[in-house]
This record gives sequence, structure tokens and C-alpha cells, in this order.
Amino acid sequence: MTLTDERRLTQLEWLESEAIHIIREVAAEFERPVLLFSGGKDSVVMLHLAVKAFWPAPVPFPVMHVDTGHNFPEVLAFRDATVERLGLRLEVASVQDYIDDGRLRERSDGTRNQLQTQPLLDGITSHKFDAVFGGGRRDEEKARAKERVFSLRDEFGQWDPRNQRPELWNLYNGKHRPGEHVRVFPLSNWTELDVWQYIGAEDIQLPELYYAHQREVFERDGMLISVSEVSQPREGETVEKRQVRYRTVGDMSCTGAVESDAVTVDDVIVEVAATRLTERGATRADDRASEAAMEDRKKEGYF
Amino acid sequence: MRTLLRLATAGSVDDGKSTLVGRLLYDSKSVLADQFDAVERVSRDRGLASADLALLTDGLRSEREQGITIDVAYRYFATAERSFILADCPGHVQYTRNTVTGASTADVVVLLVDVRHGIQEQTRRHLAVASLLRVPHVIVVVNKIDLVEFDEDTYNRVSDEVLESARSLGLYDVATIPVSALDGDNVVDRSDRTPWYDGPSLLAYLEQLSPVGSPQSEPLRFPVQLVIRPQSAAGDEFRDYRGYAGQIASGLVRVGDAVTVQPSGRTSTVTGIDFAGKELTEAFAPQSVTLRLADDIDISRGDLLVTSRSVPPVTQDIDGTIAWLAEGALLPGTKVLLKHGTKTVQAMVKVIGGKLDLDNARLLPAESLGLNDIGHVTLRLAAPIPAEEYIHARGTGAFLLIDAQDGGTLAAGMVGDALLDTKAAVEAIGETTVLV
Repeated sequence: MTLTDERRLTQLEWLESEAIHIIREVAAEFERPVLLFSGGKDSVVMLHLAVKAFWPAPVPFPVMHVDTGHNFPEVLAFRDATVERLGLRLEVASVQDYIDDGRLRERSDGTRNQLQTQPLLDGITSHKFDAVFGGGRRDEEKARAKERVFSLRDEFGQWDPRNQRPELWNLYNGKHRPGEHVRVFPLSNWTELDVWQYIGAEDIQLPELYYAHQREVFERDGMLISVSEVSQPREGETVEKRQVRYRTVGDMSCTGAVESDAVTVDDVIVEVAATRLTERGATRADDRASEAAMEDRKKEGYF
Repeated sequence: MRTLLRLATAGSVDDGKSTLVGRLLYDSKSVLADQFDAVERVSRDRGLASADLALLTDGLRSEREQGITIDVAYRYFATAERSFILADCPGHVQYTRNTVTGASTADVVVLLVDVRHGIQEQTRRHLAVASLLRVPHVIVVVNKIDLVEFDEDTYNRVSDEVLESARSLGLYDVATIPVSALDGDNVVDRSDRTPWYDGPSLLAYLEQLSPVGSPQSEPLRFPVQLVIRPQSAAGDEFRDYRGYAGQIASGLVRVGDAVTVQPSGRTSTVTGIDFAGKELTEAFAPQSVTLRLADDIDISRGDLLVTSRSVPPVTQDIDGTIAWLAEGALLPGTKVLLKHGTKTVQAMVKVIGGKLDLDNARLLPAESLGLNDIGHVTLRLAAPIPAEEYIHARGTGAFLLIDAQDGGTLAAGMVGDALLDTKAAVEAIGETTVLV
């Protein structure tokens, strides 16, 4: 066989194979892994890969969701249906509980993304999780671009970007001291477009709000915010019905929709390939806060 | 079908790596409007006349403060032909370990040299890293050509110097390109300011390079990650299912192939190749699959399944070349953990055989190895592993040394004499000639 006859993996097959390898390494080397599952597209793809990694055995770890109390109801319903279908155990860390009993205070702007860190870290500690799968991708944001696939967190959950372990070949080092844990990002090398092409190729189901639909929205800071209990228009903000879809799904109060006609996966792939804005830049108020907003949150233990 | 190419940048500090990467991303239209707006805004705040493209990749607060790259940043861009994963590595000597990291998975190293300064210590060091890690291709970007009036003779002098240094380190597949990263000459499009240069632009070159991956003509190597045994959890159909999950490190496997399990030496036959409910008749590197075997033999994580036609020897004594990446010194007698494939064993450093003098690619006697040193060691392992020389097997000849106490990664290791056996290296690299 000559070199030119060789079969090569397509880029999606390569990414899939790498992610499955990472997920299996974690299952083999850690005592108590958990997969962060919000019902958002990246976590749905990650869970799909975990199912493939262990077939025909079930996924050998539970999933956890940090619920801000501001989640889209249709995404929560999707989350519950998925967990039920796969027979998984779901742990929910609730920001609302922390606010109700005074451990956290509501921020003046009403957004809760920053408030997720404490319940997340407490959830990891109380369940003694030693490996935590996250759906973060390096193409999302410039602090994330620096993140390892296996990313060590100290006993306070902190990330030290200046002192990361070198990560060589595909030899992932999951060793850590008691109290420390490792965040693992199997989708590190995927782009938003890769995720959508994979969703299309594998026929993966997502919450409907990822596709174009009619919705009551108002404009705030250049973003289209959905009208809901937690996100009401202020004076001067007018509510209109528009054809929109969500590129990311987070806290309802600070996640914006984009105007879109993309009703199918193929439409979305075309749209994403042509977009001129990053998904976070277009839809996340929390990441616009400062040049280093994500880095600062990550150092404290955020996703 | 779109293929993937992985590249790593290297070069001395201030050679313009981040600017080059920014230019590559910007000119290939991989920078989105909001990212560019942010860069423009910050550049303006700093009183710069135009957008500083280096800000696109220097993502950490301390990097922007100091204007240097500290840690590897991964960037993604694509053309119609190909997707690229780029590891943008820092240039400072103290961050050499990050260059080693980037190079370990790279198909090509893009090494920057400032045309005004020629070869620096870091240039040589990074060429040595590329050679050591058997990166298949090296492209030397001779940068800041605008600052020498696009002078052909100056370029040729630097280019010759680099090529000679590369050859002394056993690197033969090396190309040089005259570039101004700041202005974009020969980055994405050919520049009309270097009429004497008739080669391709950097991006055109990257699009034409043959991706290497792991040739299927190499013998099968399959490190077992997990045994998949659902018992009653997946229903009656799979009650007796037993499969070995892993990612093929090299070669090809077909149903019916005879395989040997290392280190035990037991043999069996492949009866099935499963991938998430699909039965395959063959699979190849780097696919993640699950293999079923004819015999119920003792196999667990850490074992290596290999083709019975080519069985690597098993040993508890390893001669290796390591890049020491930790702050403390490595001394003879030190006990560490060694991770090879999916197996981790205890190891003791018996002998430090010397460290590499980068100026003339010679091995000097050494009693210890310090941060960023590259040297030879002899290790005694607590359990045998199937060891293959890295120059012949990038997939199964690599190992990590790990601190047994805090779990930190201490060294990147390569089985065998990865440094000085340059002739063998040429043969290994010779199979992957550039298709330009």
C-alpha cells in the first residue's frame, strides 16, 4: 500500500476520535468523574460522544447542571428528557437555593452567570468529584484558548494560567493531590462550525430554540433579549416579535438571540460559516464586561 | 474532503510570532468583526496608529501587560482545502517547555527568525526541539524582511545559516520563506516586493504540505484504555459482551488479524471491531474503536495489543532522551512515575548520560538536568513495557515523567537515542516528503 492510497480521517472523524479518547482516559484514571450538562449544544454533543465512547455499556458517570434559576424552560425540559432517556443520574446545583438562604446575593444587574462558580465548586466538593467534563472550546474566547485539555484546579477550584502543566502528545496526565480536581475539555479543538457539522452528521437532537422561531424580544446593549419573568423590558425598550434563534443558551437575562432564518441544521451551518461575529461576542453580555472577563472568572473556578 | 493539519509556532522573543499568527488569521478571514473591534479598541487606547494583530492571540492579562506570549494559545482557521489547528508558542527561554508541548502534536513547526539578527540561541533550541520530537516538516519564516529593504542577499545569508543549523540537527525537510508579518508580505498572498522569491506564500505552503498522521503501513499498535463489559446493564443481548476500547496509535486492524498482547505475550484473533453500535471490517490510526477477540484472555488497561507479525520487545530498562520541563533538577536516583501509552509505572533514574549542547549538537557530560535541558537518561522500571524507539514510532515511543507526589509533569521522554542518531532520523523523515 502506498502512502497516497491511505485512508485519512476527515476533520470531524479526527475530532470525534480525539474526544472519545479523552473521555475514556478520564473514565479509566479517575475515581469520580462528572459531566457538566446544561442542555446547551456543546454539552449535548459531549454527552453524545460519551455515549459512543462506552457503547454498549452505559455512560459510567453522572451529569451535573448548575441551574441559575434563569434557565430557558424548554432547555430544562430537554435536559430532563435526555437524562431520563439515557438513564443517567442528574445532580443539580441551584443558584436560587444559594440566593434564598443568603449564601449568595443577587447582583445589581440581575444577571447570574457569575454566581454559578460557588454552587459549582460546592457541588464538586460535596460529591467528591475529581474530574469534571466541561464543553468549553478554545475557539470561544481568548482565555479559553490557553486552556489545557486536562486542566488542574487547586483545592479552592482556582485555575492558574501561568503555571499549567505541559500537555504532550496524547498522554494526558490526570494525577492530582487530594482536594484538587481536574477540569476536562474533550471539545477543546472543536470550533462552533465543527459542532454544528457534527450535529448535522450525527442527527443530534437539540432544544428547539437553537433554530429560527418567532419570539417576543427587546433590544438591550445591542442584543435581543427574550421577554420572561427574569428579563423584563425597561423604560425605552420596546418589545417586538421577531424571527430569532439562539447561538448559545445560558442565563435568560444576559443571553441574546440573533435574528435568523435558519430553521434546519443545514441552514445553521450556512449561517455559522458566514457569520462575522463570535458566538460569545454576539450573545453574551457577561463576556463583554472587560477584556479579561472570562480569564478572571475562570481563575476563580468558573467553567 | 477537508483534512486537518496541526502546526506549532516557534522562534525567539520579539521575532514577531504573535503578529504573524494574527496576520495569518486576519488575512485568511478567520478573525471575526467583534474580535477585531476589540483589538482596534485596545490598540487605540495604547496610542498605536494601527491595530496590533499580536493582541489577537495574547489572551492572558499578564501577556497583554508584558507584551509577550507566556503560554501556548490554540487557534483555529480554515481554508477551502484544509482546517488548521495552530499552537502559538512563546519565545522566551523560560517557556521552552511550551514549545515542546506545541511541537509534540504538530505536523509542522513554523519557526520565525528576525532577518536582522539571524540565528539566535532560541532558534537553535527550537530546531533541536523539532528534530527531537520528529516534527515532520519545518518552515522557517525569515521575518521583518521589510526592515532590510526586501534585500535578497540578506535573506539568502540568513536562510543558508538556518538550513545549515537545521542539517546539523538532522532536519532536512526545511523550507524558508521571506516574510513581513507586519505588512503581510508572503503570508497569505505572494508579495510583489520580493520578486526574487519564487516559492509559495506561507499559507499556500501549509495547504500543500502532506499531512502525516500515523501511516497505516506501520505495524498495529493499540493501547488498551478500558475493558468494556456491560454485564446486565445493557440488556440480555450484551450480557457476555467483552470489548477492549482504545485509540489506534499506529497501523491498521482487520477482523481476522492475529494479535499479541504485550507485555504478557498472549495471542488471539480479532473477531469484531465496534464503533458505537456499528461493526467495522477494518480500522486505522487514529480511530477510537473497541476490539473483540476470539479468546477470553487476561487483558486490562495498560496492555498494548499489537499485530503478531511485528511484536515489540518488552523491557524494564529504558534508554531515553528527555526534555526536562520542571523547575527542580533531575538527579540520578530520583524516583518518578512513567506514563507510556495507557500504562503508568514507577521508574528510577539510574544514569544521566549527558545533556545536549545546542551550539554544535553534541552531548556533554552532565550530573543533573535542569529546566529546559535536553539530555539522555537510563531508567529502570518497576514493571516491563513494550518499548519502541521514538524515531520509528512517534505513537508508542513517547512517554511522560510525572512527579509521584504532586502529580506534576516533569519531562517529555522519547525512547532511544533521539538526538544523535540523525542518519536514522533522516530515513524516518524521508518517507514524508513535501508535495510542493
